[in-house]
Amino acid sequence: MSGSPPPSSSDALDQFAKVSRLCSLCARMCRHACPTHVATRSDACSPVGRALVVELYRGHKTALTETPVDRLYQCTLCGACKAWCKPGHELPRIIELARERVIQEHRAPLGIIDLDQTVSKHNNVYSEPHEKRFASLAPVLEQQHSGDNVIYFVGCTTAYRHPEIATAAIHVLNRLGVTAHILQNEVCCGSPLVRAGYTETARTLARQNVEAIATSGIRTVLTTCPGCARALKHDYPKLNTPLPGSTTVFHITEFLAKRRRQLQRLLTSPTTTQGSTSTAVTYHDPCHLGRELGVYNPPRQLLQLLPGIRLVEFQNTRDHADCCGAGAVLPKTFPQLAAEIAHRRLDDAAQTGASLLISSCPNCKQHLTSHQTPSSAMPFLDLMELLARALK
Amino acid sequence: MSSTSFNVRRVRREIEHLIGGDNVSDAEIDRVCYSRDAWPLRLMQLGRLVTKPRPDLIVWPTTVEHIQHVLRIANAEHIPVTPVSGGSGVCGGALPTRGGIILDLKRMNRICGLDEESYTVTVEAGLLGYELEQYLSVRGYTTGHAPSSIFSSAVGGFAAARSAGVLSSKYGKFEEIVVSLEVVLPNGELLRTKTVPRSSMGPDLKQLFIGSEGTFGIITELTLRICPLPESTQFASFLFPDLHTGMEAVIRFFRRDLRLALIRLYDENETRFVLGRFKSPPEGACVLNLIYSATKKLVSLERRTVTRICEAAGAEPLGPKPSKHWWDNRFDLYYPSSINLGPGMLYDVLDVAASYANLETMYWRMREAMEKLGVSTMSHFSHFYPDGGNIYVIFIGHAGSSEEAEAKYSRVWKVGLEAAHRAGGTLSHQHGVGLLKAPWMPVEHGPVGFALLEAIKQYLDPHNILNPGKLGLGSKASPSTDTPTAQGGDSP
Ligand SMILES: Cc1cc2nc3c(=O)[nH]c(=O)nc-3n(C[C@H](O)[C@H](O)[C@H](O)COP(=O)(O)OP(=O)(O)OC[C@H]3O[C@@H](n4cnc5c(N)ncnc54)[C@H](O)[C@@H]3O)c2cc1C
Ligand code: SF4
Repeated sequence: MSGSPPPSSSDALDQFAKVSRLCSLCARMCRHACPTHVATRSDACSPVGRALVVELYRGHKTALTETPVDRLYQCTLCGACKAWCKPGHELPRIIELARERVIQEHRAPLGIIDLDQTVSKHNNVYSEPHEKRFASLAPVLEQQHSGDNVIYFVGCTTAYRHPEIATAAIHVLNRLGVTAHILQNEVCCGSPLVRAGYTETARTLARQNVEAIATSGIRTVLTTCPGCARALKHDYPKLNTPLPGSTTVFHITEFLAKRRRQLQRLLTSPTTTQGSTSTAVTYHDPCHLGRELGVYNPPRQLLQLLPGIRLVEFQNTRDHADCCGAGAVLPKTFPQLAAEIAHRRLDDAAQTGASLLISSCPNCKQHLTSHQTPSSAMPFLDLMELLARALK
Repeated sequence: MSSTSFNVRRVRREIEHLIGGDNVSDAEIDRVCYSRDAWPLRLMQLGRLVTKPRPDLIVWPTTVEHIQHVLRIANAEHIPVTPVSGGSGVCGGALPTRGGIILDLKRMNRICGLDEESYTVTVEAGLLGYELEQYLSVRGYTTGHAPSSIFSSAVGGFAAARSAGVLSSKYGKFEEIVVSLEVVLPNGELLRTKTVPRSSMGPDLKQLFIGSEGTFGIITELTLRICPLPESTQFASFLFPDLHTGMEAVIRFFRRDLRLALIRLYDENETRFVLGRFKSPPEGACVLNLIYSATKKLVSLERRTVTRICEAAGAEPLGPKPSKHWWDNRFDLYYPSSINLGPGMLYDVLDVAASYANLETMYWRMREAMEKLGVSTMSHFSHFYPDGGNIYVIFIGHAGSSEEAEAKYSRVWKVGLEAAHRAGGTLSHQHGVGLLKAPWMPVEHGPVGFALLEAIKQYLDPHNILNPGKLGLGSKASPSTDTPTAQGGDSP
């Protein structure tokens, strides 16, 4: 499973030298879309600023001391820069590789200084007991159905912070006759560690999950967390720990959108929050799900199925959707910046005039709901919760 | 690093005390980030990891009072202050050549008011053009100011650098869009011009600051004209047998009172580039891209009149596709690529303008002079007036090394501007002066005109703190310490 060791991050950084050079010389064509720049309005905290840190580091003109490291970690890796970049430069990947280098040089910023140890010890990012990972899911688990068998990879945030999303997802799957199997030895998918530069620890976790999936014999894996889906699909091969050959990973919205007809037949009652005939909802595209996995239509197709639900889009939506601020461990490294980004997204949600905010990511839910203020306190539901209510 | 000497720590502390620690930085890496704007020569240098000129401090004011505090301290200590809004200027105007303070206006980005009766919007200087247009478009309005830098340039910079957007034939250049200004003078005093459609109470003071590139004052707030979003937008392209015929047709548009949103006439070299995917044009042929944008009725009238004029001139109608394709992909050229930014490569754009009587002669002379130095050129004419128009001459070339490329870059500018000047043109239509064209200011304005500008500078800014050396102003008061490599286009 392990294969040959990947190149060290400085070699890898050099492979991207052309891109980091060009980005450092860019006329700032994507800066307006960078959530951290929009919040700070500093040219150092921007795609070009970060590319410049990388270039100066590669050219031995700067060491990875406190401020350059801060600039590298003040990025949510949301990919907005890439979405606005006509040549499609992979600046987020370069920042990940530079962070890997930061970790190798033992220069991690304070907020994540022991993130790898925490995850290694507890198998999750929240220092919660591993044996409680699925505690609140017991009542709905392992109901056998006649249809497909899938692995439901729950992920840390859903398991420990938003089990209501898992309960709802399992309910929806069950109504479709799908049996959701949980991997009892599931551990953190490793995504936060990859994003933070702790590649080695991420690889160890990836091996455990790959092993668990391989022995399950089931080759369809569903997640409700876009970060987990991205890790399993895209990060694991880069870590040289790919899933067994025939395994297909879906975010649950993709899986369900393929079963739209079946869902439609099950949906009968109007799904309105206040009993009104039409509820305006707005949909926040999670960065990992949208820009990284290209999943924009499935959640919207599912929303369309729901009677009484009318979608009003954010002004910045789909591949231009703004990040919620939770990406790439920013709430741990720069909580104030992460909060400011969340406030902006919540204000934008309020601007849509919708009365319900929907998304498809436990981390977006966690972050946005924890930063709601009285003026931006719109009810927030994961799409699975909305679907489950409609299927009650 | 800097050419000024002051106690950075003490000044930093003083400013922090007045405006808050989060609004100030002297971190090395941040200072390097502010060592550049979008001047190609500076980018060529940065590509070699030349990290100067760096400011000593970066300050992000959020209120007018913050700026007043900073300017008072800078005046007392004789510290250079360089304002920057978007940092998209292409002439080095926002480079802190003498160190000191970079005053980044981007945190002053409030939208202060929309007057739907007068059709104006009032905004702070650090709001990006893109952000303003996002705000306006959902409300059914636009300023119509659409420079190709709209994502990276800000409203204050539009005024400071006297910008012109690609739709300026219809909506006006930025100096026509500005109704009134608020400016902090170098001594910290606040000037506000009246928000009125026009006045004949003496000279128009706001125009003194529009185009002053941060040398006369800091623009903090602007009231701008807005228009309703157009009811109809249509595209058209015509292929003319040669440049002269195309130019004559454009002049005829003006003689027939047409004010189209976009008129872009390409020379034969750029025509090949623009039409690449649509058609292989005959030798010498020049394409004209047009956008009609108005009420449906007016668009239909414009279309008919334009088509008649172009067909009478022997132009081949190409339909809407080439023009629409250009519009949809108009930013593509501005992303960094190895073609223009690779080691040893040199590129830039000369943006000049002249009366119709001189325009074509100027074009041919510039091309000849520049191409003699071994660079390729392609050009278009994209801002037209009843009496003349601009030329946008793009050049690209290479040299044996990056240093040689930088030297060649300066020579190409020199011969290009000389040719433009001799042909009776202005040396900048829309990109401004900065450092690049600073040595040419006396040539452009003549000794009397330039002495007058110097006297105004001396009166407003006796300590020469505001953007010293830019526009060629204030260099007497403080001998130029701007490094020779930072001066594009050798002295005329
Ligand atoms: C890709 C690209 C495309 C472009 N396309 C166009 C175009 O279509 N049309 C056009 O006109 N220009 C264009 N430009 C040039 C540039 O965008 C304009 O000159 C623009 O007006 C600069 O605005 P800015 O906010 O970026 O100014 P900056 O670069 O920040 O500053 C420009 C000058 O003004 C001064 N300044 C900035 N803010 C203030 C202030 N608030 N008060 C006083 N002085 C200030 C600075 O010190 C500097 O001297 C383009 C540039 C790029 C990189
Ligand atoms: S990602 Fe593209 S648009 Fe952004 S800085 Fe790099 S080159 Fe420029």
